[in-house]
Amino acid sequence: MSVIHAYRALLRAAQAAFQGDSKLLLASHREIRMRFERNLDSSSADDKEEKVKHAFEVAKFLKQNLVQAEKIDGQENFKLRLRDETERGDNESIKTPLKGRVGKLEKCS
Amino acid sequence: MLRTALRQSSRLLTSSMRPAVFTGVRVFPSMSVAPQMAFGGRFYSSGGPPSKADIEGRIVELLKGFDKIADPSKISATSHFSNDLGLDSLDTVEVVMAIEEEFSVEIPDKEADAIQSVGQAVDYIASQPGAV
Repeated sequence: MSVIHAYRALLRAAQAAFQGDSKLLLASHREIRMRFERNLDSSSADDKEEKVKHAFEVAKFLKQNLVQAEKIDGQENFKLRLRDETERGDNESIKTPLKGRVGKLEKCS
Repeated sequence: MLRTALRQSSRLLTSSMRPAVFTGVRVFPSMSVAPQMAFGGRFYSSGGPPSKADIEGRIVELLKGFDKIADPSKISATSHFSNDLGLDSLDTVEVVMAIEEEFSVEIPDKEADAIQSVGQAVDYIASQPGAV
């Protein structure tokens, strides 16, 4: 059943990630379907487990690490559509940007 | 992260655009049922939860729009997705997802796995108070 669950998870993830974008919805659905069909035919048991895991990882990536952006008319900016599940970092590294890197930067100049 | 994401998605798109992939037009579930959904949603949701007969009719209609079913004349209230309609396990996932969308419910994996026929789908939807 886990293959089926992976398929469902991926379709759901793609639907969320490409919402309203019929071109990508169609393309992602085709791609997902094609890869599952191909792997269902050819995979050994060990391999299958690995591929199911991969499918779940892709689903997670689509859900958390992909956002849609739309260009704002007449501007250079894009509007990002963040979703509830979009991963947000704490930006800790940005608060202390030069710590430990200053020496290297000086050598370069 | 965004840049990686864009690169990945463009790779996905490019590889899926290879001609060999287009062995037949596959309609995304949400798109294949969209017109019926818009109509059904307005038509049925005005008077409380849908009756079993309504649910059955809408699921049969939805299946008629599913391009994988070779013989649409076999679609009835008692059809089994694989035995009668010739759908494989991936197709069944897509049908169940289209049913979710039609009735605005999300079916958990375990329950979704158990839905293998029109009758089972009707029973499940009828048991959902949130279905519209």
